[in-house]
Amino acid sequence: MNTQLLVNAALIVVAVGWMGLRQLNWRPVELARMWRSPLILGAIGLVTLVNSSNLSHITTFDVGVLVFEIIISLAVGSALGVMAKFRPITAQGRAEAHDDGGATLESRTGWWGFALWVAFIVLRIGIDVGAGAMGSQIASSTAMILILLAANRVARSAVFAARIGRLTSVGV
Amino acid sequence: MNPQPRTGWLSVALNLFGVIVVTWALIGNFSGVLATGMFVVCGVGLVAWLFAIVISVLTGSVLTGSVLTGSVLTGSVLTGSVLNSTSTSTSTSLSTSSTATASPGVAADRALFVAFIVMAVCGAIAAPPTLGLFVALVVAAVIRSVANTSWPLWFGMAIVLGSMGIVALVALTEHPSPQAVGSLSPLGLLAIEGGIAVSALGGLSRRQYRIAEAQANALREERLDAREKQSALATLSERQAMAREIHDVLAHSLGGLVIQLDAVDALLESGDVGAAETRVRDARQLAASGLAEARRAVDALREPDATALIRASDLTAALGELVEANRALGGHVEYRDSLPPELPVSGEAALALRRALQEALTNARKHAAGQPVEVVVEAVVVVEAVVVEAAVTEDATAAAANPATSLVRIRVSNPLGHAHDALGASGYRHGLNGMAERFDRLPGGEVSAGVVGGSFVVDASVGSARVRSARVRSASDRSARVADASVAGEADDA
Repeated sequence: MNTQLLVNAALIVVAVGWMGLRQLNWRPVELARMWRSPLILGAIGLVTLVNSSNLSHITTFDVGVLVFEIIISLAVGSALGVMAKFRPITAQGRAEAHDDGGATLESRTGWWGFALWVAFIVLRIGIDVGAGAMGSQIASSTAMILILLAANRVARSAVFAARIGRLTSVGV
Repeated sequence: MNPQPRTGWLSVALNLFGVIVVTWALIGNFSGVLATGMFVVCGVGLVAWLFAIVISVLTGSVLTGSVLTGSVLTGSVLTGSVLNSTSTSTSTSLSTSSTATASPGVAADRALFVAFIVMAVCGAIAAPPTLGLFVALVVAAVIRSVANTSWPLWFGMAIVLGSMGIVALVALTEHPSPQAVGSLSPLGLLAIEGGIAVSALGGLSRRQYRIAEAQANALREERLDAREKQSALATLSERQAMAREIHDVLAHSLGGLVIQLDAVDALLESGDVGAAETRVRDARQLAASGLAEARRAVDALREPDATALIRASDLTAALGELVEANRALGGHVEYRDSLPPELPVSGEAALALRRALQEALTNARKHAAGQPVEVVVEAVVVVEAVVVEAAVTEDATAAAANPATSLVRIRVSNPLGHAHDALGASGYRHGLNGMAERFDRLPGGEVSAGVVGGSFVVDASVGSARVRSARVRSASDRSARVADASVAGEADDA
C-alpha cells in the first residue's frame, strides 16, 4: 500500500508539472494526435483495471467512485477545452514543438487552466483518500489515474474539435 | 404529406406510456420500502415529465419542439417546416408560432428546459434506490434535450454529465436499509450509467438527423428561389430579344421610308413628278421588304431555329440584299466579301451579322448622310495563342481537335458626318446596345463601335463553327492575336 501511495504521489507530481507546463505554453493543435494519446492511456488503464487481482471484490461503492471521478474528469476536460485560446501557428512555435507541419493552429489555456488543473488534482487526491478510507479498492489504483487522465483529455479533444470545426466553418 | 406530426403523437403516446409504467412499478414495488423523501422526489420527477409532455402538445411540436422554439428564437430558415408541421396539428399553435411576438415560444422553451432538468435530477436521485427504474426519466430528458437543435449541445451534455454524477453520488451515499428490496449491484450501477450514456448517443443521432433535415429544407428553399429567379431572367431575356428584333426591323425600314418620303416631298415641291414617282416606288419596295423582314422576325421569335447551320454563301446573299436596299435609298456603299462560300455559319451568328450590318447602314444614313460607306466581310483564323487560352474552357477538347478556329468578321466604316436632321437625333443607342447584347451571347462574339481615324467603324465578329472559345476582348487584343489569314484555304480547314 505504501509503495502504491508513493508511486501515486510521484505520478501526480509528474502529471501536475508536465500538464501544467503544457497549459501555459502555446502548443500546436493536432486533432489526430489529441485523440490518440487519451485512447492509448484509456486502453492501458482499462487493461490494468481488468487484470488487477481484486476485480472480483469490486463493490457498488467502487463503481460509484469510478463513475463520479470520470464525470468530474470529463467536466474539467471540457472546461479546459472551453478556456483554451487559439491562434494560427507560428514558424517558431512549429520549430519548438518539432511539429511536422500538420497543425495550423496552436492553443494555450493559461493560468486559469493551470489553476483548474491543480484544483482537479487536489479534488482527486481528496476523493482518493476519502474513498480509500471508506474501503474503496480501486480509487487509488494506477489504472484509475490513467482512465481519469484519458477521460480528461477526451473531453478536451471533443471540445477542441467542435470549436475548431466552428472556426474553420467561418473561415478563420 | 409531412410525417412529423404523426411521429410527434407517437412520441406523446410513448412518453405517456412511460409515465404510467414507471408510476405503476413505483407504487407496486417500492411503496413502503422507500423513504417518504425519496417518494416526493419520484413524484416531482413524474410531474415534471407530465409537464414536459403537456408543453410539447400545447406548442404543437412534440418531436419538432426544437424546430418551433428554434425558429421563434432565432428566426432561422426552419420557419417553413414549423408552419407545415403546426398547420396540420392545431390552428392555435399555428397562431402561436406565427405571431410576431416571440415571448410564448421563449416561455415554452424555458419551461421545457426547466422540466428536463427537474426530470434528470429527480430521475438520477431516484434511479439507484429504485434499482434503475427511474433512469427512464433521465433517458427521456437526456434524449430530448440533446436532440433539441435550438439549444447548444453543451446544455444537453451538461444534463447528461450532471445526472450521471448524481447517480454515482447517490450510489456512494446509499446505505441499503434492512427492508430494501435489494441493494444495487456494481453491474446495476454500471447499467444505469451506461443507459444514460446510450440515451445521450441516441439524442446526438436525432440531433444530427434534425440538423440534416433542416439543411435539406433550406437547400430546397434555395433551389426553388433560384429556379424562380432563373425563370424571371429567362422572361427578361426573351423580352430583350423581342425588343431587339422590333428595333432592328422597324427602325431600318421606317427610317428608310422617312428618307424616301422626305425626298418625294422635296421632288414634288420642285415639280419633278417623274423622279418622285421613282422614289415612291422605291419607298413601296422598302416598305414591302420591311414587312417581309418583320414577318421573318416574328417567325424566328415563334420558332427559333438558331442551331441550324447555314452556308456562308447564304449569309453573303442576305448581306448583299441589305447593301442593295441601302443603295436604292441613295447611299454609296462599297461592298467587299471574301467569305469562302462553303464555310458553315450558325443561324444565330448569321442573324447577328445581318442585324449588325443593317444597324450600321441605318446609322450611317442617319448620322453621316451622303458619306461613302465601306463594308468588308471576311473570315479570320484565330491563331494558336487564343486556342491555348481556350483550352481551359469547357470545350477544351473541341478546341484542341480544332486548332485553327475561324471567325466571321464584318467591318463597316464611314467618314464622320454631321447629324443635322431629326433622324440623326433619334436612336438613343438602342441599336448599338442591342447589337452588343446579341454578340455577347454568341460563341466568339465580339463587337465594337467607335471613331477610328476620322471614321466611324463598326467591327463585329463571331465564331463560324459552334466552338465556345476565343472570346477576343478588345480590338487591340484582336490585332495581336488574330491573323488576317489568307482566308480561303485555311478557313476551310476550320
